Amino acid sequence: MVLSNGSTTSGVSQAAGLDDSDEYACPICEEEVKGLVNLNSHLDDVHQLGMKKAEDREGRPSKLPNGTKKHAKIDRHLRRQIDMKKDHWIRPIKGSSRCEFCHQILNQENGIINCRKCGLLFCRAHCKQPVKLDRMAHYDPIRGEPCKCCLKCLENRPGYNEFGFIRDRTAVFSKARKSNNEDRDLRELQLEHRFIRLVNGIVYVYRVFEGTFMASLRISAEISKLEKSIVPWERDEFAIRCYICETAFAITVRKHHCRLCGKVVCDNEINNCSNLLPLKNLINAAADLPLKITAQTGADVLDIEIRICAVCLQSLFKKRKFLKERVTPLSALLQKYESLHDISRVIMGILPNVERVLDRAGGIDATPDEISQLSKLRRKLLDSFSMYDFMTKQILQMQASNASEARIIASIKLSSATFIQDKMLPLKSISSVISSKLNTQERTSPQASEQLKFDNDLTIKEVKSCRTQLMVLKEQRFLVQEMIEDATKRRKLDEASTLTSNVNEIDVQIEELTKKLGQQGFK
Amino acid sequence: MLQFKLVLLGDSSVGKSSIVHRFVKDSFDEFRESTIGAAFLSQTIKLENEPDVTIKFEIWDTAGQERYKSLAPMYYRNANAALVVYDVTQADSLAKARSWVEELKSKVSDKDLVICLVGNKVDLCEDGSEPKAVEKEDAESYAAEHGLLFHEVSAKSGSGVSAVFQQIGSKLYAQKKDSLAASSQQRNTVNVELQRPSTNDATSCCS
Repeated sequence: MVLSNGSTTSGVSQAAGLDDSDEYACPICEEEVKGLVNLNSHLDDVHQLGMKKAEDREGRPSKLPNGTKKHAKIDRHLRRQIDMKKDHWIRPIKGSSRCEFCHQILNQENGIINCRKCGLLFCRAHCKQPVKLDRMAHYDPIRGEPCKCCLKCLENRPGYNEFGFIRDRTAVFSKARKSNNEDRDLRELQLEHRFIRLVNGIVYVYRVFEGTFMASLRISAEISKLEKSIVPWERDEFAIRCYICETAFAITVRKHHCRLCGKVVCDNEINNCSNLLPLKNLINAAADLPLKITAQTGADVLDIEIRICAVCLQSLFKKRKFLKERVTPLSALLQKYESLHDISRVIMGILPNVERVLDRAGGIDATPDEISQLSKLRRKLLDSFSMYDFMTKQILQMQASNASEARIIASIKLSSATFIQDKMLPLKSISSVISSKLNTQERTSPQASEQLKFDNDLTIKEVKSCRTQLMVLKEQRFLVQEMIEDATKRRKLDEASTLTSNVNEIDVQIEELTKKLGQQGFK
Repeated sequence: MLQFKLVLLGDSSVGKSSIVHRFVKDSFDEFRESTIGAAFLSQTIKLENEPDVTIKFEIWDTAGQERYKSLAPMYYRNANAALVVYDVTQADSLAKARSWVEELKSKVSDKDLVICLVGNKVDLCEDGSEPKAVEKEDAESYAAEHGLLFHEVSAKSGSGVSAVFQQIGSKLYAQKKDSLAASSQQRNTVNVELQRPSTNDATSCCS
């Protein structure tokens, strides 16, 4: 991964001409950041990657106290005037010297300036790039003084790159990302341990106190003791706001403790900051953890509800849920819908093509080639639509296993009906264009009309079956020819002659079929 | 040597290709791929009851899938014999076989066409892994009614396969014998021995 200089943020992004409206994901913590500038400042602030650079800047001599700075500048200026190498400078000739860059005649007004590096003459506008040079007019980016130079010398200086400065930060980022991930994994592991201890503890409490005197009271007391032993609870009086949604606590906004992290949260139903979750569901969701839940564990244990905040819930169960969902296959209905969707995408892909060809073929001077292309598209579209219709019917015939599936089926029915109505429209215009074209052709050539009539005698179904027959025959011809080659190789000439006669037979049939299909055949 | 054209017909995956391969190559492949188009094989046999007669079968093994149905007429048109195969564990396949028999009867004008109804995969019923869906008696009575030869075979174990071709061969030979005897008297033929041994000796150029 390569990223522009981390600290000089605005300058880099402008120089690179990047659009700041894009969203970027931080390479370390995957947080979404808007724009490169913000990404850079995020990296600097959150991950402290900009620190070193900032120190560099402070160490520069330009940050000298104000009083000495001015003095030093004058001093250095004078020194440079005296010391600078000048013998490579080209002497200006009044009225005839021209700027090397813009070729205008140099005079007092636009300036007569030698580039300090190459010594050529330039106007003021084209010789103002500061380049650090030593006294012998060589590049010296560290100890040199900024001197007026032409653009060419600026670009020729060592290390100059038109596209900005590139620094490879991949190693740094991946290291930071690794430690970030390790932190997260550790947090998750900690939460898992707490969860296991909590659940096992509750089961233990039930087993010990079940059936004793005042069981329910003693159990609830033991459980609340257990909960506090697993994680020290944050003290109520220090909590002013919910740590997730930052709502201030009040009489109606009660304080609650997450049993896994011990922090104080509200139980806002809209934000879902914390929820009372039945043990049963939690155990189901985290079946891979080594919980001491057995078949003997009573139903009343599983009905206990634990308060868990949204953050803990997320980090404990989100990954598990994702993995679980990925493994389970789609239901039959959804699979059918996917294929239906695929067909609709095919149709959507054909339609723009149809419109383009229609535009061209709609004109008076449409070539027969374009018309045949149009009829091909029409056939394709018709096939796709019949397929779509078929799939829709299959879905509608399915038995809904529950209310939501029934709703899904109903809405598929509705949407497919509108889809077909919407998208069938171009089909009508295609057939009208084709028929009008065919009519004009019929009038012009009587011979062609005969041919067309013959074509039109075949229904689409007949054409289709003829085509498959033709295809099968061609396949078979190929196969038999291979067999002939094989037989000749093995010197079984009598077999080869039988096969050859078969090829001739196939050829006759192919010819018949192509004649029958006429224009509807393969090109 | 007599040559006869033989065609195999029947529903898909009843074991037509397996029967042919058992007959021609005496091998069996459990996972044979379905045939594309029509395959051609040939096999020469000696008749058991008439040891001096050799018969060469040119076998066209057609694909059973619906897509290739249009190819079949080309192959049964000039055939001397047709093997209509069904699967004894699939009742549907017998119905398909019946339709093939009817098609043959209506489309082929040659009255000498020998049709043999063959029930395949009897080994599956013998080892009890699948119930028998078509009883031998039913198929046999149907065959007798329409004047077909009938056999039950197993391409996997090879039982009954050669008997099918032996019976077809002897029936074809019996038909041919009369017409051959009649024509040979009239014809004045010159025998050109195509497969005579080479007369070239070592001194000739094309040794």
